Amino acid sequence: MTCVTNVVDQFWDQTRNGLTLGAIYAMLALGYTMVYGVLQLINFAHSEIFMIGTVVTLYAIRNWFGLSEPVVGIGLVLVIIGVLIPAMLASGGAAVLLERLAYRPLRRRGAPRLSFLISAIGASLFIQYLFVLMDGNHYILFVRLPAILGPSPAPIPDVWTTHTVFTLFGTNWTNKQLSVILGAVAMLFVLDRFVRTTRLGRGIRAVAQDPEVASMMGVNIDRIVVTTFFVGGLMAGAAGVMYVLVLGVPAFWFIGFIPGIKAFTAAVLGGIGNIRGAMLGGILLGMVEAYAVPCFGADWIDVTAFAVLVLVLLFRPTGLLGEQVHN
Amino acid sequence: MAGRRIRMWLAPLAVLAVITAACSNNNNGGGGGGGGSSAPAQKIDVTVYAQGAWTGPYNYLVIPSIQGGKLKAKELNADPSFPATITVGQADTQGSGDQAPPVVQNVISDPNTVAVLGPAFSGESFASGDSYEQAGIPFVTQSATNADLSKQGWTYWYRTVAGDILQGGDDGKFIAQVLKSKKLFLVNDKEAYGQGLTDQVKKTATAAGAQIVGEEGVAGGTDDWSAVISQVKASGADTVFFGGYDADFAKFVKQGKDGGLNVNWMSGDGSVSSTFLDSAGSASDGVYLSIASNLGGDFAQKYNQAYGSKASTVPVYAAEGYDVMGIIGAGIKSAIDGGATTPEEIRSGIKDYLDGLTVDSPYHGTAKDIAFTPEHELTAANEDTLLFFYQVKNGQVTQLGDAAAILGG
Repeated sequence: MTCVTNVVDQFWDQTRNGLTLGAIYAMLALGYTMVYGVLQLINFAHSEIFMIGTVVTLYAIRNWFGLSEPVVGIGLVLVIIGVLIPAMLASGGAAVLLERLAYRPLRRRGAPRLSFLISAIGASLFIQYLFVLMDGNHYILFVRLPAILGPSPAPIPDVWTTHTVFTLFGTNWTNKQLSVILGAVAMLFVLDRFVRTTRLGRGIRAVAQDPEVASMMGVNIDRIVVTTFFVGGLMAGAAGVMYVLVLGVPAFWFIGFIPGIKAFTAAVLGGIGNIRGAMLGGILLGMVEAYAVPCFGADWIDVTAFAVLVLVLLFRPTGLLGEQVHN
Repeated sequence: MAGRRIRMWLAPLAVLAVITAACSNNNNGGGGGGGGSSAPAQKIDVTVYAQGAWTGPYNYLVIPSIQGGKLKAKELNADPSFPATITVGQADTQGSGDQAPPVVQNVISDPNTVAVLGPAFSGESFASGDSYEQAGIPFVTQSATNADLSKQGWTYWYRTVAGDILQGGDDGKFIAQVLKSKKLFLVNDKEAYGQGLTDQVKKTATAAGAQIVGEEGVAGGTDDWSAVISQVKASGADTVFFGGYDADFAKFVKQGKDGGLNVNWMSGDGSVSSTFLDSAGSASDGVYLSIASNLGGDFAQKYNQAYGSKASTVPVYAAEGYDVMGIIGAGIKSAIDGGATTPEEIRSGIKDYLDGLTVDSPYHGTAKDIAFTPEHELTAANEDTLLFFYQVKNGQVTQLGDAAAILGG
């Protein structure tokens, strides 16, 4: 009974928490689902693409802008844009590079699925430990790695102060939470339009449906794959920026692990390969996790989230909105 | 492979660097006279290894105590009446029990070894104790607090820090009596240390009249605390106690204050670090902390003077490291004055000296008096004097006083 009364008590607070976290999960889930759509590959290194977004946020604020105090007004908008663009580009670029080095050689040689999976895990570890070595004391060959991250979490300067924008049913909505939710919705909308209306988007859908027929119809598969990785990387980079700026957590080489697993879960929940499914799955997972705390306690967050996943898959084995892949 | 080969090259270089650094320190320490070199010829060379995280992600918790130990060794070496020259050896485990055995082997096989400062963490203590016990080398930990360490039957093991039972109990009294909390919310990180600490807090806080309005376990490494914060808010708590480590507590406090949670925040020694201050930023202001380490007093000034820009902003256990080297030094002196000449004789002389430190005849350290129970646990006439309360003020961890003074015995 306490479960119901607590959830009712905290309903609006937890709804806001769930939406905020869910928006970030959704943006990250897109990368998993799009790559799965075209390659039937779980890109386990996607969490490291997200991590790169958090590291660029740190580097831009600390080293380029040299900020350590809160910024307000138009300056803050410029800082956020000035962080978002390089972070998204870096993550997108890293995702393209990842595809080029870790997956394309296997694809060329028609390697079995298992090889892709191992390559993904290897790439994930490689990127993580590359950033551990970035403490200014390590060399690769004779090139000194820059002092960016190192082995312990690196705090990001506080440039963004929190204030309440409006109060709804006794729940305060802050500027940060609204920025995440609105920013994510805007990006998801643009992405959805991109996939549904543009030529490249049509290519992505065609390859997802049947790569052989698509290539016979003149679709350049390599180009489609690169585009998919790049767009997924852009989204992961933006998610990384929001994650550290809004939650105020330090950048860390291992930061991507938990959000990565959660976003992958969200993608499966919504129907892997299905773009709108990933959005829905992300939001839903965020909400379930938030309601789990007043209901069962924080110990039960993950249990509840995965119980919901199992339940959904029992009744809808292909996820909420259904898998969208060939075969 | 290349990496390993490079490291093998680096190892002797690093040792050389440490030795050179130690030598130059000696010369500086002697002031104008060039002290070390002009010392009496009959000084015996001994090595005291400092075991713990010299490098790695947790080294910020250990470096201050090593610095403290080195500072004391330097002072002893400069003292003409001190009959030995102490070299502080590096036993770097990165704080991990898995990496301890080869490091311990290295310490034992060094013929000059007379004692060990450390191991700094409980995990590596469990992995090292049997070897030191067999070799008959006294090992004195400045910071490992696990209650079971004294139950291993190690006769050469000593601890100069109070355990978690005292800390949690006093924290609970502090919350109820000093913060006058009526509604307390407990959060732990689901680890043995954090859970154990909150359990102790719960006992004494409820006994002193506070009501526990909520209890949550949040896994270490959690980034998003918003759901728990809403839960705390709904409970109407006036105080939150967190049992766990610095990085998690920083996220919790920061997001809690961001979310408009207006409560007293408190945590234990796991949160007392520069990492907490750096990660929490301005949100750390006003937070209450406890640790069985004296961060204030005359030693703080001495430490900052000695290490300048290399000094930690929160030098946890630095004074304790200084005092451990102090009792080891006193043990060396007592052994050599008693006729010991070989390292083996000095080792057992140190043990005899440490065994003689009781409440009635303690060692007067800079942080506190050091005396041991028959199990080699730290003790005092009033054990509350061993724990200290702090509050973060203007980005500084500021001492409020020891538990005996604040809780009134």
